[in-house]
Amino acid sequence: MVMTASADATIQAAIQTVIRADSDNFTSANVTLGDVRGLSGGLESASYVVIFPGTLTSGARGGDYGQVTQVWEHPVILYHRWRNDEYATHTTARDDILDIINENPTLGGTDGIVNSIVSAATLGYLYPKGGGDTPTYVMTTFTVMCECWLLYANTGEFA
Amino acid sequence: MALGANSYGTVAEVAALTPRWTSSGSFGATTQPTESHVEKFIDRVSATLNVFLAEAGFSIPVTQADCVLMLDDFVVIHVGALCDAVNGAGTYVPGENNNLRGRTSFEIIRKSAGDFVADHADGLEKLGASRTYSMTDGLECRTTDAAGDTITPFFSRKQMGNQPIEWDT
Repeated sequence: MVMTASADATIQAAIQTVIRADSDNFTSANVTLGDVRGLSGGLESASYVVIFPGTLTSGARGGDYGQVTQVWEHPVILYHRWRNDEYATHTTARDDILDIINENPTLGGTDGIVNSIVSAATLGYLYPKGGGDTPTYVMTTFTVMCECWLLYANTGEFA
Repeated sequence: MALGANSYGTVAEVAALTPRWTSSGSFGATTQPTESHVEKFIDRVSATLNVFLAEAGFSIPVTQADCVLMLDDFVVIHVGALCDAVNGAGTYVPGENNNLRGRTSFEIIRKSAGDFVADHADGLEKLGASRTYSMTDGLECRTTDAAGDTITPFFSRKQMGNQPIEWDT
């Protein structure tokens, strides 16, 4: 099956759905689409995942030109509150996310998504504004690369 | 552990200001700081405030409702800043010279409490906070003249046949 529109939003929702499906490791409310407000809610050691809008890195037409292939890169950021030494917790959760994407190339059978892979994962820290040497959060920014097929039939110039 | 009887503010009010350091909005045994640490912060900032209030003649703890709200606010905000500091953030974080200007958090709280009480003692009293004065309160003695030179008293003890009496003997 192919996608008919809105690849960006569809991919974001699909990533959220497959991560939320791992309820042993991720609380549903802590896997959001662009909503970072929960970071101030008192997470302690809980994982917090934010899926951000993606970047379209390539696009091409094929077939009767109503068929479009797109490659998207979506930043997915995993946060943990930095208290003392959160690396073990963070590393485990990082591996969980990598495994989830690797195990679900179509992001849970989403129509139009033909492949997805984590193409990069970078460690970083969030420091308090005007603060000292201690980070408030340790975070990993994943780049989830998705190839998707869209079909524009009976619409616009293909009507 | 509970808060001291003379303390102002509550742990929940501090948590409301600093939710990031809580566990789903509440301080507990595993949060940083823990609930008992926050209680101690509250007791100590309250004690600092009470010292200055007592120095100004107020009965502590102040119980007049409006005054208490203001004192609660003073304590909760400063304790919130201490909770930030525990996590390397905020005004009192060690090493944050721009904010601390080289002073410790205690120095800031002590100065802030002293200024606060001195500036608003009249307001606290007019709202009904219980305040008592010593018998010599308000008595002043001018010791220099307009030029700033020391004034020599016109009269002194034992002058003109004066016989001082030692009342205590």
